[in-house]
Amino acid sequence: MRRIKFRLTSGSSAAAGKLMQDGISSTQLLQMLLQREKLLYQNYPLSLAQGEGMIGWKDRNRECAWLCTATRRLGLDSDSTSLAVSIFDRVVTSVRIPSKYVNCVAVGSLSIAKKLLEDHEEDAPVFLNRLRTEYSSQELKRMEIKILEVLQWDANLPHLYRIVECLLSELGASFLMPSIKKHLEFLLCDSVLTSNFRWSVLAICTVSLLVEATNKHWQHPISALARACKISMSEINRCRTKVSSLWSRHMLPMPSTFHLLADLDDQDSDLDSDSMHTYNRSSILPAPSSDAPEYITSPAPRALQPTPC
Amino acid sequence: MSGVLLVFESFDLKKSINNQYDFFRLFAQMWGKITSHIGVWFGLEETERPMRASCSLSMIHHPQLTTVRNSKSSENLHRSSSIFTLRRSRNKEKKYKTNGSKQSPLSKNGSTEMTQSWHSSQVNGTTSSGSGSTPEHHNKNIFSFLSRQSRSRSNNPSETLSTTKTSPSTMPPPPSSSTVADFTHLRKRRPRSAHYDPNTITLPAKEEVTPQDVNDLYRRIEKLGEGSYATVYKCESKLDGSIVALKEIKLQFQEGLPFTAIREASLLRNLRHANIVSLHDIFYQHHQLTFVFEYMKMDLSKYLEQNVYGLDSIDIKLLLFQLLRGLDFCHRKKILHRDLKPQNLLLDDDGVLKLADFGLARAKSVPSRTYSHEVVTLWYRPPDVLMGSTDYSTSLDMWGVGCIFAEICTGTALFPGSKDSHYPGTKDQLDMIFSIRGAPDEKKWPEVKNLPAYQPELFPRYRELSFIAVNPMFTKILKTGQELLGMLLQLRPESRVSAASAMLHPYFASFPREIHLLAPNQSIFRLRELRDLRSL
Repeated sequence: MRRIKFRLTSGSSAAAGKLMQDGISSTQLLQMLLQREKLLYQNYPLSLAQGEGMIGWKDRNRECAWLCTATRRLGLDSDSTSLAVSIFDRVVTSVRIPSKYVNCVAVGSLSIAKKLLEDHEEDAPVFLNRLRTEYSSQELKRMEIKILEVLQWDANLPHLYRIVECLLSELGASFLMPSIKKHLEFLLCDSVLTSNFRWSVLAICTVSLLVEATNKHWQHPISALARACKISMSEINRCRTKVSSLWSRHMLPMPSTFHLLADLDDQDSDLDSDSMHTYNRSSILPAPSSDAPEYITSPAPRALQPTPC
Repeated sequence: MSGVLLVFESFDLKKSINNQYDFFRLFAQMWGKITSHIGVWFGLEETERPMRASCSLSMIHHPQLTTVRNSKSSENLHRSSSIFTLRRSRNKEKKYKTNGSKQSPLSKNGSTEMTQSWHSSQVNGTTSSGSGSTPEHHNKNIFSFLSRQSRSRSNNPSETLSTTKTSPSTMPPPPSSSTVADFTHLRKRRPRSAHYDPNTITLPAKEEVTPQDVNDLYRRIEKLGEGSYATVYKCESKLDGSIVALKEIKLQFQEGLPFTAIREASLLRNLRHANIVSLHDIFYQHHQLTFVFEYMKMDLSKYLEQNVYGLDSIDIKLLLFQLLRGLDFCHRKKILHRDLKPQNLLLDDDGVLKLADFGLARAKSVPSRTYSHEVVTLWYRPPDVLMGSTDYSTSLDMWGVGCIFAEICTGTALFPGSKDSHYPGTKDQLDMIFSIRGAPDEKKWPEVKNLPAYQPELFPRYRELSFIAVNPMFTKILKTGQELLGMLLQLRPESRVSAASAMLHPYFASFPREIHLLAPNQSIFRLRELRDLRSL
């Protein structure tokens, strides 16, 4: 009886294999993502190639902030941002990149993420125009190929957003995703966190802070998730401190009960505010293409064309 | 050597006193010499050693000095001093020796040239490596920097964190275009010792390994197909004579990299299964992208053209099981194919079926994401997607399996609708589906009311028909086969059977149990019972 009670409170009933609406178990999906992550990201902390004129962590953070802004401007989903950052990070930590080309790499990463995750086919000039960049379509194509070569044509990388979504799905709380969208974006843009902790660790920390805000017995479900993900609680605690300090530093509201119960539409409208721009400007110079806070009215994306019968 | 030199210095000192030099000046001179020699021991640069050249050089011409220089102990001393000196200080020492033999112009020239040539080669190497780090030199075009070798040292913002170099196993292999010798790995392996100075070792420049031309590796045999997007050739490997299929995607006229190519490459990289076509290699040359696939003899649609009344019952069963097996593997990997049709199912001589063309495929995310409803060729598109559903999942592919199952039974498509002008252009297709499977029942399928293009008034109140009533050819799959077909062709997506469950259906009861225990890369024809059954 006691065990049953624990399972109910800890959320490990979800860990037993809660089926999502499509019959895919979130546990299976999480395990697959963790396996891929373990395979791809073996050495932490990540480091950048050093040298004169080479990209530094500040450049990386600036471009990630730009990616978040650009994704919102294009009307793409958050998982595209997260995958773009994942691709971008993998490229910049694998090869030497002069800082003057870093925005081009970011554009290429975003383009690949969009092509993998979004079902809207869009011509390259339209995409570049909407991003307000001056690269040509040829340059974008060449950059995409270079990035894919670095990734060995495996661009379907595990990323923060997807793991958080899986973890919340395990707890039966995937409806909370929109309320922490902004929090996730700040995580993506902080190299101190992303270079030192795997996506899975960051995801569990985020979920733990979310659960802590709603339930004082947060340790039980989080330790169950940590066991499932084979991550030590000490690492999670270390990361939690840094994550909460990052959020408080940028005056983001901690995900409280009141905050979570607030209208999600309001949360979405909050995201359009220039908080990320504030972040950019306060810490680093914004990218040339990111200094357009207003929403761009652009042509509706063309629907994906089916193959002919 | 320096001890001996000090003896000579004291001789110099006496001489100086005899010449009534100022005592303090001499003391300063002596002190300068002592510090100069200490500087030599510790490998200080010439500029850092006070009064270096004056005495030591004069001592070289002393008659007693030659024996000292030729002694073994002096060489040992010199060697021990190299513990503290790097290449540059050695270089200075060479110069020092050279300057000592200034009297012979021939030797001077010769030694200068040698020094310069040795030094210049090093300098060139150093310069190239140094300039290599600057974008002006090694980035003639803006994309060439990506092919640079990583020689990373940590640039981590967090000071408290340890710095580790990215492991080569986690990184893609570094391109070999650089001619700069990287000694980082040598330094890691060997400790620095008196006899080993990594900075003085010169390795031969790395060979320029240019990627092999795809035309040098494969010989074209025949064109298998051509479309607006790509051309497929049957080719023979010049290395081992194996037959492959080369899919050439021409990019020079395209503005961006096609999303189909990115998806196909990214997804097939992680799908290794006996019933999924293998992607061997990817080349990007001559403004075209070339995918090297395993060669398959034909596709299912061509095979059906040869069998206008459908296939034999045992072949139907074997092909359907392989289709389900490949699809189950995809679905387990959370990948939706989204373009199942006979043209995308390939067959080889042994009757092995493989799923191909993952250009429209995508990794399934958690349910919050919506997808395009403009997927899957019209004839194989499920009714929920035809009515505008965007939150579909693996059930999308299962409807396609049902359509293909029916098609290989009868030889003709079950729902050959056409696109009409009426929004959203799917009325004819839906009409065909409802005429056989019955109009949607809102009691059994309550979610249908929420679909954007659900317009029940457009269709008559069709009733579900038995498959034999539709086509008598369905008798060949018996009742169990018809039952499975009905489970695949459920209007409500949640009611459709999954690939894993379908493989366990009694329709496949005649297959040996071991078929469910095969490893993913093992073909079902590994089992003798099935090898004997096939007639393809």
